Order: sequence, then structure tokens, then C-alpha cells
Amino acid sequence: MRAHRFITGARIEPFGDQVSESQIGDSTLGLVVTDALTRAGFEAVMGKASRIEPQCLALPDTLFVNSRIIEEFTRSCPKTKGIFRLALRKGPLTKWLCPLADLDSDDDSVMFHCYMVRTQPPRFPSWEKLRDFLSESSQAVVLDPGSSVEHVPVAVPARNCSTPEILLPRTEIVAADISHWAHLVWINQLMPRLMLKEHGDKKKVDTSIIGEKCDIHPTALVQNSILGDGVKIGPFASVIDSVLGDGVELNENCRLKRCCVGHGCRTLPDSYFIGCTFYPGSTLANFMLRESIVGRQSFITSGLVFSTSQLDEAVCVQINGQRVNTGRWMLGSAVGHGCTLGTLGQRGFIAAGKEIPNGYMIVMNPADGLQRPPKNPRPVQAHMNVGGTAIPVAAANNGSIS
Amino acid sequence: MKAYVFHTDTFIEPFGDHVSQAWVMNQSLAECQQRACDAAGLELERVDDPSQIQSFPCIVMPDYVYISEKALTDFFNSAQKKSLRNVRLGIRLCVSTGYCLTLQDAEVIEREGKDDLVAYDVWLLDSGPIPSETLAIRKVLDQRCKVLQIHIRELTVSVRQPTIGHTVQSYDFPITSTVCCHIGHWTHLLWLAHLSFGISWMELARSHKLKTGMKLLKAFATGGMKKWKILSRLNHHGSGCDIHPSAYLEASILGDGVKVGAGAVVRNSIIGSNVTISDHAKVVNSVIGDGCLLTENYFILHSLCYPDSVLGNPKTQMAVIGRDVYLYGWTSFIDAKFSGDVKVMHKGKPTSSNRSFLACCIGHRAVLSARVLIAAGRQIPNDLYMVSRPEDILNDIPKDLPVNTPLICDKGKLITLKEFERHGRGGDRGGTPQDTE
Repeated sequence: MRAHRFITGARIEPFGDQVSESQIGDSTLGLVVTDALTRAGFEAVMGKASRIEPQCLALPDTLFVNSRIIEEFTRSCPKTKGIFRLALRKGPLTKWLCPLADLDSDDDSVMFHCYMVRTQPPRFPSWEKLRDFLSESSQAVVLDPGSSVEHVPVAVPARNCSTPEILLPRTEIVAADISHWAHLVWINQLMPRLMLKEHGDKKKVDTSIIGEKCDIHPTALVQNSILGDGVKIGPFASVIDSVLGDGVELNENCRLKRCCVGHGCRTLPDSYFIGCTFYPGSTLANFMLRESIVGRQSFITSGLVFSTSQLDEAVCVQINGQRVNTGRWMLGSAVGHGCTLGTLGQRGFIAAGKEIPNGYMIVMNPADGLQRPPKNPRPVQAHMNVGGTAIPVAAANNGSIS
Repeated sequence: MKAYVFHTDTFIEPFGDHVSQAWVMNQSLAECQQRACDAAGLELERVDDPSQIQSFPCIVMPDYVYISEKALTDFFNSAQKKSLRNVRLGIRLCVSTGYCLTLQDAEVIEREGKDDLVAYDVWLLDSGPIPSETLAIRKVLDQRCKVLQIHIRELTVSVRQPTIGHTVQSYDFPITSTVCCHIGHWTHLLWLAHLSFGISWMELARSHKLKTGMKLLKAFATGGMKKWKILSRLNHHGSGCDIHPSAYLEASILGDGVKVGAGAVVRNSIIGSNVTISDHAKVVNSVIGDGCLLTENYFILHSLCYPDSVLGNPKTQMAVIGRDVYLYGWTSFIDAKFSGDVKVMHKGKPTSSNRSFLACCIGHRAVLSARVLIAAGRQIPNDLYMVSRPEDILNDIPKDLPVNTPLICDKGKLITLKEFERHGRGGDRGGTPQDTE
């Protein structure tokens, strides 16, 4: 049976990439979905709306599915003629992945544009028209991803937040519509578990999969992770629930949790990343980076602070110039391809939910750093940085300057 | 014999709590007094006014006194042994007593040839009546009572501090279990938190003699005489704790239901119940109240934290943190003065605290968010909601700026460096004296 993947032309801001090129796990969305369809017994082909023949599966390239959900969908579809539509029961998984996505839903399920086509549809010139026809004439098949969650306590300074913890869904079937960079951040936090369930050895307690020629320091901690070939992990690093691509180098004291790192990335010492996604080839450092996504060949230093929450409300992002509430209390920012981010000074930081376009280079405000040290300072005279120059502090400021 | 604790109107700034609710050794002061009296075999009764005391002989103290189990027991027993009546508690002036002495109003009696004696407000009396006000009590009872000195044994651990100038280069932490202190200021709570390591272990050892003995034996058996190996086996935790195998616990007391994450380090600390210590957090020499959440990579040293707080800044040293506080992302405290002592507010006036290493006190329910910097010795009032300045937050990122050219953040908006220089410096960014308050 064939599975037709239709190119919708959707792009992910700020990268400007086609959605099939987005980073999922340690490879791209297109390859991962094609692989999932193949494992489920379908032949994945590029869809042409005028050439659909039953029996087949039709889905857009923005849809992420894993092989288990396709198998279960195929099994659950009634054996009669008709058109059937994939739907998921509402629960922790839909809460995790569905904000900001434009999906049809009713009271207790969310419906995706993934159709099992068993009757010949009319010929349409484009995917949009075909999709509209299929969505009107299809019957939903609701699958239940389960309601098991993992509680992750977080620190959110919002006094009217009733759930100050992240509820990470534990499930074996996942379907998601990827149209925003936040979806990539969310789906990549589930990817390590999903990949381990499909490829890992269930008999072992610590089910990490480690590639060939990896150089892991004995003091490093690797737990429930997937490492590619040639990965170097420095002393006292810790990699928990993460996916590392080929050739990734983690310097000493680097901590990763629920991250997906593309091939060829490097990190500087003493970094801490939780829930982040990195495209290949970047150089990364930060004292604490949460729920963010960084593009290809970018350079982030530890001088830059990314805030992950807004005052007293859920984080809002900008879509087409409008402010949209994500419903999430903790979300970082997106950094585009080829960016070089220095520092914003001692007090500056980037607000939550922002996008930095490709190629931007952010440097320090010249007034923030000490540019002009004094020539002959007296030994016990205290100096201050005013506009880049160090000048002596006025005397008799008892007790207020340390 | 009864022990009477009479009510005084002492409140701890900035919390505004009455002193009997002050958090000492992971319990309120009232509960600590109860524990000390139970250990000494005395029956505790609280009265509003000292003139209501009926049954003599008895032990009398105001409600702002913290006294450890051993100190009260020794005082009582030595008075009984020597058949003394009308005595007052005294301890010689050593590192432990001198540690809490600043800003207390305990009396220091100078003696020639021997160590000075510190006299505390704990009396054993055999007859009344007792006047109503504390100052009057002292005057009246001083004429009647002699000071009975109890023996104190202590160890000091010396920790080197980065200070310049003529102040002390190393900081002595005393370890003892004979402690008495008048609590009147939040710094006293901090000093008691440092002393509570010694007190707690001794009290624990005395109440669970067999278990502690077994632990010590096992520690010696597996670790030999190596100090750190022994200390790393001397931990006590309650039921239902979930400790990751890569976490390192050394000489700590944990409550029930504590979750310790991967790579965490907990040394010389007292942790309350249901505390969550996330991955790679490091807790050294601190007292953490029940139900707190310490976020990843958090570093807390020599501090005291009330229950139900969420702590998330990179490093906290020598601070007192109130209930239900959110310390969020890159909040920093200045905790040392290079020259001179840190000044704190006491009775409305800035007073020297005799220390050059002291951070601030944060009131209940305060929320301090990203990149807030607080000077040393300050007290943050309850319910303060402090955020960063709008011009420091990069909120506006235009999409049409040229790539690969330097961009800077000016008043919350991203502009090119050339444009910034063309329009002149955008206001005071380096900091003026008002900015560092």
C-alpha cells in the first residue's frame, strides 16, 4: 500500500526552511516520517493530488507520525469501503502538542489530516482541495494515546498558575501537526523516549544506545539516551533522555536533559540545556537554556540569558504579527540559522517566546563593558563603570556601595 | 518542675512574624522550646504575663529565647546537683557564643583572668513575685540571682573567605550542641541555622543512640579513618526518599519524601520533608524548610530557607529566605563587602552586623524575577514583586535588519550598532550611584 505525502509548501519561521527539513531527533522530519511509514508497511511516495488510488494513506508533509500510530490506525480502521480520518482522544498528549496548531477538534478528540482512503476520490488539482473533500467525507477513527504522564516540577513565578509543573506525556503513539517552531521544541522532548521504545533493548535497565567509536569519559553520566557515531563526551557531563547526532562533542560539565542535538554540534564547558533542540553544526554554551531551538551553524555564548516565562501569564508568541497565547508557562526562544549571539550586558536578557531571524549578530552595548580602564588609579580608590569608562566613585557613600 | 515561657511583643523584621513563629532548626521556635523542655524533663507552660506564674520553684524564660536541649538539661541538672536556687544561665564567651552575639541584648559579664561570661534570660527561681516587664524583670532578678555557668564543648571549622583589607581572612564555623540565643533579628536566625548542624546531629544521636552507633560503626568499617568517607556515610533520611544513585550526600539530615536528582550534592545540611532537589543542585551547610523546590544547577551555601519556597537563581550564600518566595532566574545577591562590615537595619537604624560576609533577607511571598541584583545586608519586605526594567528586556526583534552586522539592544529594541552610535549614547547604561541601590 502506498502512503502519499503531499508538499504543502509550509515553512517554519524563523528558519525559512521547508517543514520537511525541520530537525526531529537527530534527523529531519521528512526522513523520520518516511521511515515510520516504511516500518508500518507502506511505500512512502510524494503525493500528487490527481493520482490518488485506493487503498492508500494520504497525509501532508506537516504531519509527524511514528510507526506505531500508523500500525494502530491501519488496524483500527473498519474493513469497509470509505475514507477514514486519524483522530486522537484529548488528553495529556494533545495538550502537549496541539497549542498553536490549526486542527479540527470536537468535544473529546482532535482530528488530523491523515486519511486512509478506500474509495476512489474525484481528481483534484491541489492538496488543499483534496484535503477539504476528504475531511468532509471521512469518518474519524479515534485512537487513545493513554493518560500516563511524568511530572516534572518547574519553577514558574506566576501567582495565578495552577499547574506549576510540566506534565510530559508518556505514550507510544504520537501524531502532531508541525507548523511552528514551538511544535518542534515540544515534539523533540518526546523523541528520545519514542526512539528508544522502537529501537532500544527492553531487557536492559539503562536502555541507552551508543554508536560506534564514541569517546565517553568514565565520569560522565549517560542515561536513557541515543548517541550517534563518534560522539565525544567530556568529564562530569551528563546526558539524560537525549538524542545526540553523529560527531557531537560535549565539553566537560555539560548537562543535557530531554534534548535533541544535531550532528556536528559542539558545546562549551559548563553548559546546561533542558528540553532544547539544536540543528546541526552549532556551537553552544549557556548557563541554563530551557525549551529553546537553535538553527544550523549558530554560535550562542553563555553571556546571553533567555527568559522562559512572562509575568503572571502564559508565554505568548508572535504569529503573522499577532500575539497568540501558547498556554504554556515555560517556553524559550528560537534562534535562526547562522546567528552569532554575544551578550546583552549584565542586566539584559531576551524575553520568552521570541524569534531571532537567520544571520543576526548580537553584540554587547559599548556602554556596558569596561572599554577604557583608568590610566593611574590610586590603590584603594573604588571605581565604577559609567558609559564604558572607569571613574572614581564619589567619596562618603557610606554603606551603599560594596 | 515547670518551665514558664512568657509572651513578649517581639517581632522579626521583615517578616512581621511573632518571634515564636521564627524558623529555627526546621521547626518554629515555639516547637523548639517544647522539645528542649521535654528533653530536660520539664513541663512547659505558656503564660501571657510573668506575674501569672504560680508554681515555684520553676524555670522562667521569655519567648524570644532559643535554647538547645543540652543547654537546658545541663543548666537544670547542675542547678539541682549543686542545690542552687535563684540562678541565671551563663555560658563562657567562646566562638559559638560570640557567633550569635551581635545585635542580641544578652549581657556580657567581664571577668578577670577567665573568659568573659554571657548571661542569658533563663532563670531558675524558687519564689515570686515576678514583675511584668522584661527590663524590670532583669533588674529585679539580677539582684536576686547569681549566674550559673554551664560547660560548653565546641569544635570550630575554619573556612577561608575572599576578603581584602583588615577584616578576617577566614571564617570560623562552630560546631557545638550547647546553644542559647535571644532572637530579635533575622541575622540571629541565620547564625542559628549555621549552628543547627551541630545541634541537630547531637540531638539525633541522643534520641536514636543505637541507630547512630550502628551507622558510625559501619562508617568506620567501610571507610577506615578517612574523614570524608566516614562523613559520606553519616546521613539520616526519613521514609519515602527518592535519591538518585549519582547524588552525593554527606553528613546530612533529610526529612520524609525528599527527592534528590542526578548529580546533586547535599553536604552538612538539614532538609525538611517533601523537598525536591533537582539535578545537579548543590546544598552546602544550609537549612531548607518543608516543601521547597530547588531548581537545576542551584547552589545554596550557608543559608536558611523557610518552607514552600521555589528557589531558582544560580547562587545563594548567607541569606535568609522567607515562605512562599520565588527566586527566579539569575537573581543575584551581593554577599560580601570588601572593606568594612555589612550593615543591617535593626530597630530602624543601620547597624553594623560585625560580619563582612552576609547577604540579604527576603520576606514572605516575595517574587524576584530575572536579573535582579540586591546589595548586602538588606531586608526585602513581604510580598515584594520585583521585575527587571523594560529597557533591559529584548522584546522587539525586527525581522528586516541586515545580517552579519553587529546589532545591539537599546532600550528593549534591537538596532544596528551604527545607528546606535549615530544617535549618541542611549542614556546611562553603565550605572550611577542610584542604580546600585
